[in-house]
Amino acid sequence: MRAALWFVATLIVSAGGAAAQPPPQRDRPPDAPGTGIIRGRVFDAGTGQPMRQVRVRTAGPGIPGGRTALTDVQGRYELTRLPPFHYTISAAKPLYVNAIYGQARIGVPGPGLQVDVGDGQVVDHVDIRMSRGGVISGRITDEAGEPMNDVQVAVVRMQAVNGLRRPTVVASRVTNDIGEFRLFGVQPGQYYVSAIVAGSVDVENLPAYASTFYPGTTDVAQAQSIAIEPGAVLSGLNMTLLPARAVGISGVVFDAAQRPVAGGSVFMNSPVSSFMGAIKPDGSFSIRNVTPGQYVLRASVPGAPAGESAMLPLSVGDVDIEDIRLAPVKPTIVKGRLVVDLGATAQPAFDAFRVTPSPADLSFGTAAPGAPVQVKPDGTFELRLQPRRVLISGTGAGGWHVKAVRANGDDITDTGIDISGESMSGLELIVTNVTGSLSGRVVDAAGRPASDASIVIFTQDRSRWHAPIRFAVSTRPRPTGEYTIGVTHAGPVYVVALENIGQDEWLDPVFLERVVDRAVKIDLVDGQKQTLDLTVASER
Amino acid sequence: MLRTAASIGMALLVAGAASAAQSPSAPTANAKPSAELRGRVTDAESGRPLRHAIVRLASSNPGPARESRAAATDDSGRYAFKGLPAGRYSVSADKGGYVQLSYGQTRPFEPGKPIEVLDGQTVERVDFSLPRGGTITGRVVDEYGEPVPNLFVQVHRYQFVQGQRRLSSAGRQATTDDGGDYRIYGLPPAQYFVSARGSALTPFVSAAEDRSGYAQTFFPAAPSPAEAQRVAVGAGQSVFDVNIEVREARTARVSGIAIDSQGKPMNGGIVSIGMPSGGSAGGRLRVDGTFELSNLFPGTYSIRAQGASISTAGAAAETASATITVTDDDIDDLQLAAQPPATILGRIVLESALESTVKPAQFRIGAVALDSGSLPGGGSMSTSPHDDFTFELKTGPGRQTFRVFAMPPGYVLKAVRLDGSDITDSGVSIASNEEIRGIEIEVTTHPATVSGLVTDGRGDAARDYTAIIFGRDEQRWTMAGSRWILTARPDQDGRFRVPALPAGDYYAAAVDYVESGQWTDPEFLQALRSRATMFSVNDGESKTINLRIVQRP
Repeated sequence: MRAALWFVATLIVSAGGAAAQPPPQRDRPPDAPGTGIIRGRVFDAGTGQPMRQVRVRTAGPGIPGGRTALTDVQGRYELTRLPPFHYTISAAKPLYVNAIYGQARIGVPGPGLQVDVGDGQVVDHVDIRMSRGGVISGRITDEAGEPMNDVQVAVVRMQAVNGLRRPTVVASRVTNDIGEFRLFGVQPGQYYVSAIVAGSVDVENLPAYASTFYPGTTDVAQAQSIAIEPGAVLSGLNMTLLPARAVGISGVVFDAAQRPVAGGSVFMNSPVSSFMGAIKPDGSFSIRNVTPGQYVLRASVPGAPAGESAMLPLSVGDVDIEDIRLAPVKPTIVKGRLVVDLGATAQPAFDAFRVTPSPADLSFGTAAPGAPVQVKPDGTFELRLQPRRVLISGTGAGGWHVKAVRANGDDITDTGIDISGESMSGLELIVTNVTGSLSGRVVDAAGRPASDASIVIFTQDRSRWHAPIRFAVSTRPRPTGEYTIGVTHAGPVYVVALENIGQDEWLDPVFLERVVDRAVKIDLVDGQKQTLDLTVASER
Repeated sequence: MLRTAASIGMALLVAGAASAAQSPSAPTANAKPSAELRGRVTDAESGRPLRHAIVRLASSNPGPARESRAAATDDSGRYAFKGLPAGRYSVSADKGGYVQLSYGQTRPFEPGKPIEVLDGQTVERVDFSLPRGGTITGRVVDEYGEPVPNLFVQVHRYQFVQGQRRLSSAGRQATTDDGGDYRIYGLPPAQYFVSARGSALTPFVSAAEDRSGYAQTFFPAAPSPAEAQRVAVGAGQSVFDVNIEVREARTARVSGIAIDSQGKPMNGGIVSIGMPSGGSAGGRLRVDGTFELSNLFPGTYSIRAQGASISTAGAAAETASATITVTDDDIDDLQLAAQPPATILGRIVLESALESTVKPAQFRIGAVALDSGSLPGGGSMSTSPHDDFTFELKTGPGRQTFRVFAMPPGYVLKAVRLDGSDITDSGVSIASNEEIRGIEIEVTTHPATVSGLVTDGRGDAARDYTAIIFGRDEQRWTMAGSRWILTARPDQDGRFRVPALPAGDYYAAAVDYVESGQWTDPEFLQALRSRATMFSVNDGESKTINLRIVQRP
């Protein structure tokens, strides 16, 4: 069996985003009347002034829906009736970047510090500083210098998905009649700005325009990266869109009985642009004015049975593509069961597990190939999956987790499985409650506790940096500089403590390559509690 | 100010021998459509060609084949639609920042004129001269004077909808930016109301403890249009500083349970909520039949629950609905009780047995609610007839009639009968769980038509008017979607034509200008009646009447 690493990130990681979400409604326990209080003030990081009308929010067990307070004119807030828990406090106000108490960098989303509240305890001075989001504005003109309205202008961030860097739209707006756009509330970071002409209308002789990145290129690799500092206002990002070869995409949509479908629409999506065309009564569709790129074609047919979808990855160059046949595929029924690992020390409640499918490659985009399912009490489950390569993962509760996924004996945890045919069986999820841990203390160069640092742990197997994110994990130490992270499978890893890392930056293989020579190596041993003290790596 | 005319270049040249006065000839079988329609779009002020304007064309006749196309103008402002089948078309042009105009529209909110295109004919100079639109700009602030970003700003205008003057949204929406600023453009000259509001209906986003939001507020700070201030926009005028002050308000939560006709909680399904002013949202019922809707501002809502459908045998899912008025208080115990649907059995009656080329699958029949207060959708479903043209339809209770939602090209509805009596307009009262047999829906390819020419006050041929044809029986004016009020604008020969109307007794009048929809106002029709010409038309008859333009009431 290959060495694999598994971390139970949820045990310790205090990521604000997840903690701030209210629990799903159906799981709502009754509202427990707590007696703890957290209070503090919210300030504008730029001006130092107190901020009013800020929504301060927290969530935790026993308070379904969480607690919310609005700050007064002095920026004061008070969260009351809190049961004992370690809370993450978040703050939101339009135009400002969402903030979490204790986050390492103001204006950059990242894990914060937790606030321990006991029965009847009042925790004061939980102060939060917020920074205004950046503003990007400009004007879009066509090749004749005329302003273009209804151009979709987007702020795009390169984000690693399954280890692949992919442009992700952070915010977008359309231009007005004088070609102006204004994007605001952008959190600090490195961005590209893209402009596309929405191609939803089937208009004859409409000149096509390539999706253009600032300052005027169709290739994101040649685009100018734009740094947004907290509160920055960048104006004058003007762009001229250049006419492109208009490519036509056409074909026929069939139903499961191979009859042409009448009605509905065909959508073409790429990470930055989308096109749409109506399906005519004879089942044909035609989308004009498509710009080059990697797309996923999807037919949306009213009344089609749930789970049936017609999808097709399509690479569009500068020639028309005709005779596309889009036919829905019945989902494959995939049966499996949970198997308790030999090392487990108890018997789990099987129906506390969920099995989730996700795409193993991005040729069909990031959409899930099927819905997640809950495992039945007898440990079996049944997934309905689209025929493509699919990764299977599972989550448990009460200290239980999935250790490996096997298909007819082969370990497919990281490789995924090719789904095809009417039905498949023999899927096994190995579950265990045995957890090891890695803990220690993080200090800065002067030996002081480095509570602002983030610890990143990632596999020594470089080939897996591009694979799913379970081979890397990040956590924050407590104010004392101490950290603990749950480890559920052994293997050789790198560990590095860093300051100033961006949101999800550690998911990016390029980032891991940059920090690897400042990392410490350690072999994690199954089920053992290991310690490792760290010094924050120097900036470079 | 309101009536500032948008001047339109109207010269139109018909190349092709056939006269357009006769009714459109039937398309020659298997011949490829080869008619052509083209023209030019220019800026009304400078006469400069407008490039990349979008021209839309739609056939305004029932059949032969419905065409709907769009084309962009080139650098010289020209556009062309090639390969058109013969037919009567409406054409409109649009470009960002300009007022969208229909062909033949000379005044704001007036319907355009149809263009008659014959087989193989080339119709040229379908030209548009677009006036610059007006703009409204302003800032949305809260009670502290701070700008509020991300609010939706809309313009509204009083329009005639089914006989009533109603405030309806007009033109584009805008969203406020970080400075609270918005800009709405391309507006025809008119008096507008401007409103700002937070996000649309989001009843399925759990409100948690945070229950506040921005309810719709009209310029300058009014919760309703009655206290709002009007904004007059002249032709191409820019109106600045239309600043709106909004206030955060508490939203209410409505929860309850949906119960099926057996008195048991609905075992899953859908709950949807709609506002009379438009906007609706849907989500899932919980498995125990309960639901919770959040973020509701005070107002009247219609709520509807639909049980999980039994997909086999097309059985209709049970539905339950209620209309509720939400104030500041939560509603905790709303009970939506479903009644078993009624079954409607009937058949489609074709005019002659010769019509063997027509297939039942080409028809789709549905129930239409007639009593006001009924929910959109009303729990009714639509169906296609069986092979022998009989059909079975499930529908909820209430006063309803039946309509054909889809039929083969060239067909129109003639009458709906129950046991021989005509219920096309009056409908029938349907009780829950009832079975109604013997509904006959007759369709025809030869409806009654009326067409004619119009002269002006001097007796000269009029080329710009609106003909209004309305039933003699006043009670038929106020029916929802009345079949008894029809209008037509002249084609390029000055001829109006109503392609299909029910047989009966009518008034006809031609007026110089009327705003779209105003003819649904009973008071308007009453005043027009004394100046109108009377005529009657029988089934299948093609009536020709000539009118003289009369003074608009």
